[in-house]
Amino acid sequence: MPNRLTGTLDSRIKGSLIKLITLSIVIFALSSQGCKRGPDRITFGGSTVGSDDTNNPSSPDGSAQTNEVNTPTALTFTTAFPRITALQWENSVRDILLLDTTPNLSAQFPGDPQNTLFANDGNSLIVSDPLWQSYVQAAEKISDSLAANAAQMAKLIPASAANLTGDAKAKTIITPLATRAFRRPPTDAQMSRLLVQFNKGTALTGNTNAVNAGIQAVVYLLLQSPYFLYRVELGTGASALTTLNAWEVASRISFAAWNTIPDAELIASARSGELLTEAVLAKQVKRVMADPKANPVLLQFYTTIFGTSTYADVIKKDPSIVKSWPADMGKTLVQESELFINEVVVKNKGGINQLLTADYAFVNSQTAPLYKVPAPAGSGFVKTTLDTNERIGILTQIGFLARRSGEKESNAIRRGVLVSDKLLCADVTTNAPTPPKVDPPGANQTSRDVINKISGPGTCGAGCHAQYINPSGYAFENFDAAGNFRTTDNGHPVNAAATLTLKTGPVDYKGPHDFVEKLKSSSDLHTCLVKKAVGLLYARLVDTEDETLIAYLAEQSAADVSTRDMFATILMDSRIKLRGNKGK
Amino acid sequence: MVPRNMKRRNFLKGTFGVTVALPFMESFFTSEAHADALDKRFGIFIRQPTGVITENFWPAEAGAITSDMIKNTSLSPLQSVASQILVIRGIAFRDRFADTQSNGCHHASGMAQLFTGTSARRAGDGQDNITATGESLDNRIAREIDHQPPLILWAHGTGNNRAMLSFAANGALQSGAYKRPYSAYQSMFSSSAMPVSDARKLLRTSAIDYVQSELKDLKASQMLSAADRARLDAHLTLVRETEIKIAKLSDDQLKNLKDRGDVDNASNNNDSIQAIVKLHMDIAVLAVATGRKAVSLQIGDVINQITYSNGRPSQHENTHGPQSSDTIKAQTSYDALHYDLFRYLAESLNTVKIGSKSLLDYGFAVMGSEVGDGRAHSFKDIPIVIAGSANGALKQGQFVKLEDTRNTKLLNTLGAALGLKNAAGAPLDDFGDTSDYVLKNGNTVNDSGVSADFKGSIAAIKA
Repeated sequence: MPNRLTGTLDSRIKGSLIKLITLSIVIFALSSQGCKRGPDRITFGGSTVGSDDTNNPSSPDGSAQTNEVNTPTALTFTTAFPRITALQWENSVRDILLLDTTPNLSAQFPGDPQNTLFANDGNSLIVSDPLWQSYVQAAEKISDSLAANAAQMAKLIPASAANLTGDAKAKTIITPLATRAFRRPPTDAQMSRLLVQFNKGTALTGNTNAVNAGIQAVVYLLLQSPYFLYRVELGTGASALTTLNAWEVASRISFAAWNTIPDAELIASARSGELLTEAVLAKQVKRVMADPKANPVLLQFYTTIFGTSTYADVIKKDPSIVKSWPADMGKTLVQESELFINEVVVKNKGGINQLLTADYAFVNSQTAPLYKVPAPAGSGFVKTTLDTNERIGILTQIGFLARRSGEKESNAIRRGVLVSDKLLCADVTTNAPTPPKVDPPGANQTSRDVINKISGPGTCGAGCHAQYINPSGYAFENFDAAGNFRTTDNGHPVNAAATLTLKTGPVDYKGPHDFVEKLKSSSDLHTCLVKKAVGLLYARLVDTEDETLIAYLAEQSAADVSTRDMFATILMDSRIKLRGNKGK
Repeated sequence: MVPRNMKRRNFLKGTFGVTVALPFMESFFTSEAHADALDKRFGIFIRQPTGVITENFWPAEAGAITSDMIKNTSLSPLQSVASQILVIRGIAFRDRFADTQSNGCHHASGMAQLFTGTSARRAGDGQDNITATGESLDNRIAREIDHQPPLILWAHGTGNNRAMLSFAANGALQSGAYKRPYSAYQSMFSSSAMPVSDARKLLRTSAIDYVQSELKDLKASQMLSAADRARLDAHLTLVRETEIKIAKLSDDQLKNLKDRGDVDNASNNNDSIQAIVKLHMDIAVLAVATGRKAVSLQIGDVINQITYSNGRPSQHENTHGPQSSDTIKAQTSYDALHYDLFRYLAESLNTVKIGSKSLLDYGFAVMGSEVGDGRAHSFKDIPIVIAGSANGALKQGQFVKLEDTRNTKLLNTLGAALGLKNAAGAPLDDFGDTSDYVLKNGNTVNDSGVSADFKGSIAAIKA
């Protein structure tokens, strides 16, 4: 893959990458003379994106600049042995053993460390004592249940083994199994050990069917193997950077996009070594990201950012603001938001811009009164266009609004924290004090007045709250604690206008629609989202050496490039082949 | 060496061999545990019954323990682990004199004090109805770093008395002592890790071997970072600990635990005493090898009824009866037996290897008694032997003579060695009752004299 991309820079990126501009102009000139510029176009279902001249997005300020995505010369250390996550363990076991469903045993595992948003930072993913015990017990349960399921066992015996005997038969059975588990063929030493285990199968398991016993005994080992539990990334070179081999790259791509082992085609491209070529890497990444198996990671990205699973906690609202708030309303809100994100990001190939501005929601009989639309028949959800004078996108849907409120009062702080922290990457959670008690508004107060009084200018919250958090939440004062649209609050006119402080400077907005538009146009939003995507897909912390890639992708995101395409670009970048050693 | 975070005043006053009011034995304490060793730390607390025969127990001179030093003492069985033990003379209980518990049982009173560092007090009618006024150190360790009660073992308890080594709090005897080693074993493991057939153990062991081979292969990779080597080492340790869990008890051993254990617990002959105590010690080793942090083991009843040989009076009766060279010789042999059992425990802890170290390097086992000299029922010169360095925090290979030093200081030192902290976050020095000695009338004393009762007992012994 080429490492020079052309694109545009918004004003903030220009500021941060000013040193690159001169270089970029040179590159632009070179590219005009026939030098290969930009990545291959990424095409999914008819929408074409990329970085050739015809698709160069314009920056919000209309300028057209040229940017370069560098190949890092050094990256901060990441381990050569990141272990797979609980989700990856489940999916991988299913795919290694050709099961129809996941074994569903990881619920008993200790949880993955939550030190990053997506709980997948490789350096933090270690094998702890209780986790090791869980792996051992799970390996025993799975190999035992496999032994008790003849049909499942038969799936693991290749047809080519039928007429073979002895070690030849055993090897024919072991090789594909171990290759799936290790994401590369077993070494001779490993094969020798596995063969010994296979041949001891009956003695070890008591199963008199030697072949089945051998498989059971081998599976028991494979599921405890460090080559299964770790995404081993030894590569070559140990100075500032380690360059991964083709097997390791295939594994990275597959676990990032599918949360499971590589499929046969990825394995084949790794086996031939072609995966390391730019063309085949791009082709495989496009294929992987176009596969429905990549849909869950797209959903995970946004459901995690918006914290939609926590909507289930919204179990009660004050009857004075909503006539009925069923006990299972929280679950309804989770479903609604997941359907919405799926529609926008997976089905319609959208991204953050569409999530913020879509004019519809998935409504059921419980939420229809809140959205002031006719209730659909039955208990299902129906995609319903909303009154665009009142609502716009996910931040004006009931889940976000109700989850980030009290039982009776709206709470601009809680709404603003999510926007500031998760969408703008403003550092508002470090050293955050205990949230102040938010009293109900007095007779001459609105909810906003209360928030402003306890955390606005002139208070101890003048730094974070007054500048970042509260203005990110005031935009939604038109919605009460249950998500009802309102123009008055406690008998007083709602004020949903404020000034938001972005990295590029203060931005005034007049209300929720204007806020969303300003948000959508801000490089802060797109840079923030891209950083999170880079962290998710590389399973590491974002590095300063990632800045040019982030800047490029932020432009793409601002220009409506789909999240799926953005993910593909990340996975086909040169960084997919690199592991950092700096600092170790 | 000044332990990190140690209060300067403690260090200045805690000079070796000098009796000080401050409850910390700096002279034994060399450093705090490193963070990477903290998760392997443990303390095993053992009570050997009825004190010792003083004149046959203590080495003559303090200093490095040599074979010559202990070969003619009841400590002689410990020669094989001499470099890993610390023998301390001069430890006394808070209830300075054995007669402070008016009409109370000295044995019960001593047990209430041994690992609590508090006074004993009467809990109601009855000579042995005595309790402690604070928690015991095994409980403190378990509470703070294991988040579960200590494992309490009781070898050769007749059931007519109590296991009273472990206290949860003032007046609260920790319940749940296991007399059956098999029951203790069952309590330690979930059903999935319960005893299984030898075939299943073979399968489990096959994975241990395989995973160890693969981890070693990975470790052999060129140019691994130190962090990645540490990551693989940590995994290897986990595998090794799993191996211990799987391999420690064979089918025969389990059968022994289940069947012979009950027989031996009830039997009163010398072989059975050894067998049942060793089974309990196996359980203790297994417990700490698999992550348990605190174990207590009481040998015998509060008033020890073990005869050690059928047809003879119990050890306790022996101490009260007319003393002759034969009875003293017999009692000395019981003492030697107790310390031979302690050797067994220390060696068992040594057999569990963790990298280049053994389990014994990470924690300690301390054996003490509820009285000093069994004949005098004294509360002075309590026999104290410690095996293990708690990751280098405790000195080893030494016989130390102190002057009338409270066991509270010893317990604080042991707690600090495992990383426990005082209320201010410094190494533990506020465990137990750190106030002065008390007499039965409630007055405190500072002198180092002995009571008339004690003097009388000594005189009787010498006679």
